[in-house]
Amino acid sequence: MVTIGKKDLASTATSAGRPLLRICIDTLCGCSIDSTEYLEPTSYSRLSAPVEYYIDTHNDISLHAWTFTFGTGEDNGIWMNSGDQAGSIMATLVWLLMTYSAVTVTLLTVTKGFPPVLGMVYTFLCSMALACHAKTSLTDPGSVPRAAVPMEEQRRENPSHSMCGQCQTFKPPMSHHCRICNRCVSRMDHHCPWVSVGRYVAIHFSSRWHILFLNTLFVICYPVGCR
Amino acid sequence: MNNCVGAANLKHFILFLIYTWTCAAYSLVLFGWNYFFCASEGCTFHVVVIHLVRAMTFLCIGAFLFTSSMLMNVTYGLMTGIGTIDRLKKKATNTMGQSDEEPIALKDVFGIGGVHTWPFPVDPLFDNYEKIMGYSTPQRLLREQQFMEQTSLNEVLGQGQKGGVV
Repeated sequence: MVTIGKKDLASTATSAGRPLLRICIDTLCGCSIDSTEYLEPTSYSRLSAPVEYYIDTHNDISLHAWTFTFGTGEDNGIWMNSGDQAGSIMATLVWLLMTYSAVTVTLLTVTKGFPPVLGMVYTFLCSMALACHAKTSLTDPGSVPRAAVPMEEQRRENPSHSMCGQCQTFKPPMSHHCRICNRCVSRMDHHCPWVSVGRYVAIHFSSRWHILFLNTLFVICYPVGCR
Repeated sequence: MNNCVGAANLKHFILFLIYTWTCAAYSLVLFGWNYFFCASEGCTFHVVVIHLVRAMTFLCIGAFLFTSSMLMNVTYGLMTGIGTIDRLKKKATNTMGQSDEEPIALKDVFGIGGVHTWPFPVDPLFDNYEKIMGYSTPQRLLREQQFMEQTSLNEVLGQGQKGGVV
């Protein structure tokens, strides 16, 4: 079938035992949801629709909408870093500070300090920023799966390819291994919380000006809620 | 953020930076205008709120500076194709001159879904997913092959039906 990986995963899940949540749902509604009807959907409407480009539905969680796992592994449904405590605190702080600023501006409009329209604009911008924050945190940044192989082009151009020592997979050009996610990430820019600060400090240690300016800026501004 | 920033979520990261930057700049302009240019009675804030505003001004200055520097980093990355980690590595080893990266096109970050999808944090749709990610998988190749076969089969069937009617 079209979704090979998912089907395998689903069949192993049903053979190992029914997920707890589904048992709960079954007992609640007093009925038994037969899992096989979800394993064999009659048609893949998104795939059979005539589209010009290829849509990847491999990682959709449409088959088991009520069960989910989170983490940064390949088998996890929802991408989320939960092991890094400093990063989690930072992310929560961003939400708290953004909410604080939105509440302040709202109070200003309530106490007639500003016209309400300006407050509306601010809260809109604020909510958009928070939505983007959540989306960035919960989106797979382009992790390289175990089954990754070089593309045709790369194979033609280059007879030898680099591998990642930690992942034991093919390492695409421009990708890096992230120690916090424990995955290789395609075209990785940086990991957001404290790791990048550590790197900054380590790499710029020779430059006094950077120490004085950039790192001070980082240390001051990091908790301020920019990420 | 507590996550890596890579090819697939660079769009959301840039959007987050832009929105936060706009937030900070907007509130600084509001407060600054109120502080410097508005002297009438109606412009004085409430006694309690004025403390909140003071704290928020500091936050906004910090956020503004930080997001500005991050936006510059990201813009540099887009214009040269060298990510933040790569840039620092190259600087540390003095190999900046040997880089052969190419600039990243905006449609490789924001997708080909149209400009109206750019300001919203929805997943970008890439025209060549493999090329952007830099790898392929046997499953992907197989699924693509099946998809192509299915579409060609549908076309053949459609033509057959048409022929039958005629």
